[in-house]
Amino acid sequence: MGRGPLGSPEGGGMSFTWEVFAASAATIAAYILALKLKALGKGHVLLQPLLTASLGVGIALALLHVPYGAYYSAAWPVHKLLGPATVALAVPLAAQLGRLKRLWLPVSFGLLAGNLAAAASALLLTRFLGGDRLLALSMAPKSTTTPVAMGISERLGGDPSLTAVVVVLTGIVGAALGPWVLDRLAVKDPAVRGLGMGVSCHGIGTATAAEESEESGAWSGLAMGLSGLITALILPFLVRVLL
Amino acid sequence: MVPKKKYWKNAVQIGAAWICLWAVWQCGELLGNWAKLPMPGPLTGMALLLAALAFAPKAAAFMELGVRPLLGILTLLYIPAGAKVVALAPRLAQAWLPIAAVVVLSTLFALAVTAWTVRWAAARWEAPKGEA
Repeated sequence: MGRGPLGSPEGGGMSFTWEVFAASAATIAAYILALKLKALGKGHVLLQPLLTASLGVGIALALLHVPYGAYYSAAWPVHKLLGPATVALAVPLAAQLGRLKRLWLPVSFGLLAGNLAAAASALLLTRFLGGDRLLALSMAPKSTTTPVAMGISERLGGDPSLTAVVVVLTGIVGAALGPWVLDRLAVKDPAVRGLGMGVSCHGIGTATAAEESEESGAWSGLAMGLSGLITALILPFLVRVLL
Repeated sequence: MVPKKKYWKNAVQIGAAWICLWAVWQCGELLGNWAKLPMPGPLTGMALLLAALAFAPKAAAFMELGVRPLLGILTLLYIPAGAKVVALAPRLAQAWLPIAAVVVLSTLFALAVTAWTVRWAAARWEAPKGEA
């Protein structure tokens, strides 16, 4: 299967040790606590469950002196499920096929414009704020899903491991602030909300869209898949023109 | 309470959907490796399943029961990846200003551009029902 969603080697494969149990249980506990916290805080933007749960797990790892790599490979029962869960997005999407046939032209426009906006603004803004060329190349594919982004970054001459972290950070920020921005823009159509989340913040945005509605999640999954292709095709060209 | 017979029927239906998802995922990984696709395996699998379901709408309705709980916990599945940001925070701190600004501004800009473009284009070109 090669690389996991973070491109890290899956050391040890699927074993059942007490570490695996502990890492999975801790992740699930963090998730449940994060959901409770969100309910307590009446759904405040910054209480997005992925943000608070990731912070909780990350801080716990630091306090307990557990290396991140050891936690990640032990938590395989949780992140391995991303495989079948991503495939599962095809089921609600199949129910939208009729609308997709009517909407294919606006969707193509939106995906193209969104990917251009994501990549060009990342390149230009990084340089404008004093980041070097390596940082700009590593940030440019941040809106695509991790393995795709790492591949693009490598081909452009960026730093794939930095890209992997920036991609996740993009997802967390988008998941927290994205729905709020869509509300401010008065975007109500679940299809449009999902497409925006999928283009701008890949799988993590898709998870947030799926929390809103299955329909939104389906469109977001579609946008995430096609965005990987589009960004891979347009980025080398943008780099030549803009950098 | 769910009647016992129905309970078993649901369990079998959910199990069948999960086995199918797993199998399609593996097919996606194999196809991706073989054809050297730029897409990760799960996304290739999603495309394969969508193509199959386009010809079998009844299968989509059957899988619905097994799919719903999985999609409901997508956020949970991303927590191990999310914790990486905290673990590697010192690395990000070296260039925190451009990274923070670009991640927030560029991401929300891309979101707004996508939503605006689709909404604007759909108002003009969404074909009326039954025409496509």
